Amino acid sequence: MQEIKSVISAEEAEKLVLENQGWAESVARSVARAWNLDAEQDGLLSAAFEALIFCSRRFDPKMGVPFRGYSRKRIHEAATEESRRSKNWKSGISPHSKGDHKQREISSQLLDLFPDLRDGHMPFLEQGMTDDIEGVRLAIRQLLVGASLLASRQGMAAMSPEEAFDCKKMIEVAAELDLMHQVLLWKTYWEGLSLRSVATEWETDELNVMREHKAVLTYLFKALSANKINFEKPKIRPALRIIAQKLKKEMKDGPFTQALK
Amino acid sequence: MIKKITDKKLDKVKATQENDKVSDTGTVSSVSNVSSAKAVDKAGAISGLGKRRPTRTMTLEEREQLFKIVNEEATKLFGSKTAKKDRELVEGAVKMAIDSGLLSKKDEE
Repeated sequence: MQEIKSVISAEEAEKLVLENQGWAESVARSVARAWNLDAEQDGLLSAAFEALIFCSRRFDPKMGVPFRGYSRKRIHEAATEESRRSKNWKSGISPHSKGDHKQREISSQLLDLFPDLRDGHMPFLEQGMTDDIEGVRLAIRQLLVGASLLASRQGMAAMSPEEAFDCKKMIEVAAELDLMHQVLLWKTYWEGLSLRSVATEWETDELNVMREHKAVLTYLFKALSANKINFEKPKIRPALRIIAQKLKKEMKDGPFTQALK
Repeated sequence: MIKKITDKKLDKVKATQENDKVSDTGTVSSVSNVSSAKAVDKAGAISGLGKRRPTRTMTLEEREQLFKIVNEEATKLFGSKTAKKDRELVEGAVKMAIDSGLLSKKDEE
């Protein structure tokens, strides 16, 4: 077992566990509810409890972060990872939920791409945006486009065209994007890299990549909704122009353009 | 504090819970949610995140409203030309992802 260097005493850690055990179980039960699993039988409660203990030993009150804010994502991750290993992952526990497996797979990947969801937050709220509902609506659009991209990847890989997600339109619209934007989408949704990994690869700040990603998803929502492609395509922000130029030297066509060919 | 001296009301779970909640780190309640944002600013360990401000925490009580918005936006995105199975796949996945992070207001406190 990995040795953990504790920053608080064993008694304090134990107190944190006792005080937050019920709450950690609630986090696990939310995952079970969403995915139609049994929190106990599928091991989510145990996984959440282990994550709670792990976090309690690593928690440093001097950082100024409340314990629940610090530990929630980790506990949620533990529950979702255990879910994927469970025997009910493919079928769910309800006889009506067999078709949910693909939805669970996509939603699991959405949680990796938009980790704020694990905290019960909607992603991508811009500074200065005061209208919660409008912010939520915009965030949901991003999630729908993100899920469509993931479904498109599934569709391209599927053996049966009848069962596959119709990805042609998505691929066509994505192929019209600037090469760098295509690469960003491909790396994130097809190759499974996090936005942070892409930022590291591109030697730029993660926020640049996150905002670029958001701009691209916003464009895709408009373009796919209206069923035509005459919206102004997103411009590459100045911080990423050097990378865009570099990519143009390295490849002639973007990955979606190549996929269409 | 004075209420800790025995009183019938103190025997009720509610009072005890309140006392526990007062001492519970997590109950810095909605403040803890605000604090999360502040803490991200302070930590800055993950570059760039300090410049973002997440929305307030969504709760289980808002689940139906959130799902309704998902339905509305999915209708805008897919219209009537998209196959039902494709729309259900995407819409269902988004709802699952959102739902998995929702706790009740009581649990958020």
